[in-house]
Amino acid sequence: MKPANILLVEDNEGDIFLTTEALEDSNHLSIVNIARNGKEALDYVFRNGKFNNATTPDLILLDINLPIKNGLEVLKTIKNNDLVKQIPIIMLTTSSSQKDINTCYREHANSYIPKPVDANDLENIINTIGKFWLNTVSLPTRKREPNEN
Amino acid sequence: MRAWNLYKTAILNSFSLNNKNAQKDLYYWGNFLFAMALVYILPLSLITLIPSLFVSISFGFHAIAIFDFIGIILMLIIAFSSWVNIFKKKIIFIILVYGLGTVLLTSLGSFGPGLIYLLTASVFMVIIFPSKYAFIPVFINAAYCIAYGLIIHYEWLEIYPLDINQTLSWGAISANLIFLSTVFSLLIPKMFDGLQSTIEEQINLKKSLEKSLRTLEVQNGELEQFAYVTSHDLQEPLRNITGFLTQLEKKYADKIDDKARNYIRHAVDGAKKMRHIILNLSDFTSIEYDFKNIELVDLNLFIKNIDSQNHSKISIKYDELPVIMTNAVQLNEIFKHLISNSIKFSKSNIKPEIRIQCKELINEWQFTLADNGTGMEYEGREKIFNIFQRLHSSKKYKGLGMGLAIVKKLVNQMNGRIWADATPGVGSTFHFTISKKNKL
Repeated sequence: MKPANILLVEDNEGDIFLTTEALEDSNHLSIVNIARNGKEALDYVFRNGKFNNATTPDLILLDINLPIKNGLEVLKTIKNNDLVKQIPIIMLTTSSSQKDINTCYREHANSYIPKPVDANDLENIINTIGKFWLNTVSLPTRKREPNEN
Repeated sequence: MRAWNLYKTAILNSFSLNNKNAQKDLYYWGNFLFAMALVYILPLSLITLIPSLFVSISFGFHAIAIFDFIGIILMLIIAFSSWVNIFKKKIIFIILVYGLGTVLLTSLGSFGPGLIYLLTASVFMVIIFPSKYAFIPVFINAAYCIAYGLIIHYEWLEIYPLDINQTLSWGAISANLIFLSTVFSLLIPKMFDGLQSTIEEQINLKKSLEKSLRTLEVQNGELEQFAYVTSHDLQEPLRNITGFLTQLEKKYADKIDDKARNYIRHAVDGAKKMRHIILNLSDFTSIEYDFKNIELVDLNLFIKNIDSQNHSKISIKYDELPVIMTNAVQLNEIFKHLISNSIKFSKSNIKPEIRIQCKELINEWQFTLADNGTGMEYEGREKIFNIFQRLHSSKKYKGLGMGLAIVKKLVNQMNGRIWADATPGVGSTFHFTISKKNKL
């Protein structure tokens, strides 16, 4: 099976380390790309500048608290753009406020997961994400066609 | 009616009395009195002056005709123009009234209404000019009466026939004017000065209150921002601590002994507890009553729902409860914390039980939750609502002590009050009220 291409958008180095390790340890093959702020995330997705050879992600793991552009802005931009709105976005963030949860779903986030504190919980969540998104559901193709009928 | 209002507004405007930001002190109301006097006097004066003008012209009384003509023009100017300043308007008006009084005095004599107009002008002067000028009318009247007396005595001008050679009589009559004028100049300022200082006190109080309110709003905003930032910014490093420690335990499980595992466990517990405190603080500071989500809540169903969620831990009994308009989510939070409190402080040997009642007051609903737990000492009754206040050591009863502080804040947000009484060894009873009015 071809490895999935995952974009992890996260600015906390510790979280990047642990999440990447969890993804590597999980049963599902994936190539992980990191964007450390909102602008970098959008540049990657839209293949701007140094990212013009980037592969379209199969899945985006998105934190809300990011420098330069925050996660909500990234979410809105991607989900309002015909070329890339089909990419599943999973919010993986600190906040568990109902207000933030509601806002993200309203902006068409595909799901919302509050970040766990425990490495064991993180392992479970990453495995669950892998099992669901990379094994159970069908994903859209990477080829970018607006308004596919 | 509408024409009258337009006319009245036109005059008030020329005195800048329709300015909403004007400080409504005594000076303002003095001007208001003057303006309103003009509103009523102007039509009346025109009714007398205009015919008098025509009569004087046709009878050849040129002096009176000129006086009438100037009088009409001046009255119209002071009533409607905004380019003459108010002080000058007052002066012109007073001069006109003195002029009228003089005309009446010379045409109808000293027993006529002339002196009445002079007295009225003096009282008016005391009212519409600042208190420091209160005695000026007395001097003006004294000067006027002396001058008129001299005119009578030396027959310098034409006066009312019966007044000729009546200098002493004039002195006696005019003394009345001076006397009354003095009385008014003495008494009116006394009252007005008192009023003015009360008004100024009120204005200063209002200003300082507004300033305090602004400062408080700023400080409150800063505090909320501080709480938000701290809680969010603190959570990340804490998560790093617990994350890496638990990862260490997992990845090196076969390389660390039980003692090391224990060290890690304690470190993680500490970090988790800290996170718990931060989350609670964050909850506490973000409590704001949601006025938009008010709905009809059948308390019987509401409590039944809570009962089913807590069935194993506590038995909830309730009398017939009413249907009320409130925010169900907020009310649920209140009950959640109070019930969890009762469960935590229940007696170990009997099944925890709580009895809930709701009473209707005039403007509030009053709830009573009586449990059969361990109760508390009298001194603890108010302290328990303080944030992080625990009456017992943390070993005996786990928890942060924030639940009741959160309840108190929620209740206050709903314009209510909360209080408790308890008997040690028997149980505790919590009472709280929420306002029936659900508007900001």
